[in-house]
Amino acid sequence: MRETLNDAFDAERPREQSVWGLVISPTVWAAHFLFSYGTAAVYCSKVGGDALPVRIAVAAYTGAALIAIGLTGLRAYRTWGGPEARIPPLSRHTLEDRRRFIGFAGLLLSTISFIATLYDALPALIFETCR
Amino acid sequence: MTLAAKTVAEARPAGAEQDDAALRQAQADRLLTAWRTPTGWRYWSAVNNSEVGAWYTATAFLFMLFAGVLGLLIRAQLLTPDSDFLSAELYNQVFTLHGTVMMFLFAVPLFEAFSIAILPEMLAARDLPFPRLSAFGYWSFVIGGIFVCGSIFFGQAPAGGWFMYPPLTTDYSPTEYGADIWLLGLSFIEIASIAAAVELIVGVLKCRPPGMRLNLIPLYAWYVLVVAGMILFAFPPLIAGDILLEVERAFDWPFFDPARGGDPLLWQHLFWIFGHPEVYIIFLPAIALAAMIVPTAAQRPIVGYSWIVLAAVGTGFLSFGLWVHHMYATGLPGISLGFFSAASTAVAIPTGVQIFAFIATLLAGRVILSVPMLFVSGALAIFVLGGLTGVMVALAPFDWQAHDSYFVVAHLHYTLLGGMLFPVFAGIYYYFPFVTGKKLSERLGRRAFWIMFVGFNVTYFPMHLAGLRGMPRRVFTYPGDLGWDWLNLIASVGAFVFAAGILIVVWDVLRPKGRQPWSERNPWNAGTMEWLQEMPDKPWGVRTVPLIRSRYPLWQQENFVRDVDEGRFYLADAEELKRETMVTSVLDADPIQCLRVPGPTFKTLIAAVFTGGAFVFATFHWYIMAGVSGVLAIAMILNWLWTGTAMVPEKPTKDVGLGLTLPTYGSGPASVGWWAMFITMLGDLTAFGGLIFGYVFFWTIHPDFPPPPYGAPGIGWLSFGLAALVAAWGLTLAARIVNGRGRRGAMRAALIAAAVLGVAGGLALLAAPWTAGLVPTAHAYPAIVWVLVVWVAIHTAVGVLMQLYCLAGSLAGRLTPDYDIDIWNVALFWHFLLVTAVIAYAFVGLFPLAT
Repeated sequence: MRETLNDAFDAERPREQSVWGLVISPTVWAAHFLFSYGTAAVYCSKVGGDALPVRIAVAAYTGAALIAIGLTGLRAYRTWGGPEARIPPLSRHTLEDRRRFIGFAGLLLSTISFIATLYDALPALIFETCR
Repeated sequence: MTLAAKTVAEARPAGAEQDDAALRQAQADRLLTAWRTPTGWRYWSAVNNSEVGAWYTATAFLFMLFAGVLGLLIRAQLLTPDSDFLSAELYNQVFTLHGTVMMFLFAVPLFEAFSIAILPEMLAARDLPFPRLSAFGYWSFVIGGIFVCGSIFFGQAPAGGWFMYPPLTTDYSPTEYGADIWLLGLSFIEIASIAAAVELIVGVLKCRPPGMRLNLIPLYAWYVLVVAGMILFAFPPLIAGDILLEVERAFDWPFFDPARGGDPLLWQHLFWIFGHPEVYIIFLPAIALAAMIVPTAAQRPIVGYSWIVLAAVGTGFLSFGLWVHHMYATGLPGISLGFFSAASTAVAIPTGVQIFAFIATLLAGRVILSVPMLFVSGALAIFVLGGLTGVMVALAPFDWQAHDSYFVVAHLHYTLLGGMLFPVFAGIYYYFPFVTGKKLSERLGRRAFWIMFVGFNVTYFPMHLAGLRGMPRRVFTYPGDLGWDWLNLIASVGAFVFAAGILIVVWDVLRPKGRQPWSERNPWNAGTMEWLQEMPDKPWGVRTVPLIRSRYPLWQQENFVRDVDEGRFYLADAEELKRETMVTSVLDADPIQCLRVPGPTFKTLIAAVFTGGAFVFATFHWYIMAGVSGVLAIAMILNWLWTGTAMVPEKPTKDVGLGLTLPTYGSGPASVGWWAMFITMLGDLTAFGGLIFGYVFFWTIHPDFPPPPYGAPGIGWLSFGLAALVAAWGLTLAARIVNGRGRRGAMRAALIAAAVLGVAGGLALLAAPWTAGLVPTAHAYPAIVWVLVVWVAIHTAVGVLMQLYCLAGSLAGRLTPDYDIDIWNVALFWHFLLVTAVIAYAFVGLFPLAT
């Protein structure tokens, strides 16, 4: 019985887009945040004193995170199609509008994640020690 | 494009075949029979979302009024200096219970309550996918809530503040049972909250009407999705903390006792990893209400739909990076504080985006200043003020000055009342006709708003000043010569004015409306589908599951209401007199399944009573009775599952109308139950993560690890245990696969072997710390090792129970190669169990070898 149902209803599910795409950038932000905090917390409790290794680590995390978020954002921008392709509200009931909506929302989420990651890198720029 | 998607894309409302009024009447009668609400005392066996949602909402409001009275007692005590209206003891209980009840019994559950009531109608679903689970959650909430609230009448309320910091809640606990009541009573409710979150996530993702693609879903549903996801990751760390604190209180395992290697700061971390997202868990649903009310008031679609989705998702994420801003004064390294300060200011960006989107919508439309809109305007004004003081206290240097002062009390009330209470009152006025069929009074509403708005500001604004003048929070009295007296006097007068405003609303809600005519249909001329409902409402949720082509179908789709009323879409009939709704795909809402949902039962109520018993008896250390109650709860839940879930349908497919035929059964990722298991286990894994956080935390505070003289638990026993669990997992998976191929005998043999190996594995894990002589009461290290091992062992026991349940199902013929929901879900559980066991092995077994 399963085969017939699969044929009828599951046959070729288009796999080009996933709702998970929306949360990639915020997840990268979260990972950046956790790694930065974790590195500082562990280093300062186990070693302490000058925080230079923490600052270098945070710089590395930030570079990696910004590249990942930037690439995700770029892909989202392409999915959206840019401002001239079609401006929001993207509210038609077509496959195209749904795709572009997820692209646009993904672009916005990448932007806020980019900004938040930059914010979270600032303490490593300012604080020199574990105090 | 799948066949179902193609059918939906080309579908049009039914034509001549639905023109026969007699046919339509017969369909409607059958639907009414299937969805009839039980009457008499059996009314309380209802599980339909409209009943459960209404009870849930009403109960949350009763708790709010109770906590409000406690708030008034606080203000009465602080009215004058050196007051002796309340004793210090009682005052501690009153303010603790005020915060606890407002947060845990009103602010969080109200969102879930209300979403259970309106979400299905908003998505034109007949019901949520697991109605009995909602009912179970509701009854758990009632029992736990009454237990927690009732404690104050016996002088046994929790008294350590609503965030329960040890050692105030361990060594110096002022009331004997208060902290236990908090920990166990609320854990019970938190589990119910997670159950509701699972229900709502699956509801939004899988129960939308055909054609409602992701870019068309109502904004409220986006918020529900985000908030339920947040609950899933925010509540489990608190449950982990609750476990540690309760085990310390009940069995003296010293997690938070510095004399024995513990640390009270661990509790603060676990509490606030929950506590800060919780603020947004409270705030976002209220904003979601505003996102429904604002477009209606402006009579136009929302401006910046995508931007609001950004704001909801973005806030949801960023809110998890704020927890340490409650701990600025604990002496953490400045660089750590900096990360949290940065995230705390960053979260203001998405929050601001939503508010600008609302303002833009209002500017672009022609605003009707109805009572709901009035409350929303007031909310925005108050919330913006609270948000601004929020940015102030997000900055560590300012926070050090304001910490634990009335400035913080003022800030949190501005955000919570502006961000939650006022929008909720807007929601009451807006949705009252939806729930009861009658409108509230416009005149009373306006009066109530202005009294509440003035009363609120008179109460809380002076608290900023009192705080800046140094008044600490939670003092039960104060001397008269510090310049705090007149500020407190004003605040107390304001509180009673505020309460008078709320009383007007209470009167408006309760006043008899027998002679008042039914509200007209869609009284606010809104565009979303919950307003399809007739006045008075019919129990079927929606007459027919419609085709969706727009964000505001009532405004944007021609003849939409008529077509729905005349049953011209899907599932317009209930030929088999069964309760049915539609399951659709996540991205595009292509139909997948015609889902049968269960009807009224008392089983959920009885299961909740026994589950509650297990928690309540444990509070008083009556462990035998707690155990008996727990076993009865498990038995009742098994009975409920056996008789009401994964039922074999009488036919494999069903014609749902408009030329579409759908399966009546789906297992694995095609079934809603599989998704529910997946989501639940994500939350479960997060709770385990909270315990692992505790383990790592102890590593950071002890220079040597394991702290001498304690040795690591035996790696031999751990390795044996892990190997047995891996084998049990493999056999469970094999059982699922061979069952699918029709080899039932092999499946049963695999399940039996898996269960035996599971038991062996669980026992071997327990043997590891036992044989190593680790005594959990001696030190925090052995205690956390024991907790991790016991956690895995308990999960293994549950996993074995599930394997045996599948075995019984196979023997009884309710689990067959074609109808195999249960074994899919159990295999999924074992995937998560495997991950849990491997992580536990890595930390408990390998980590000490590496350090």
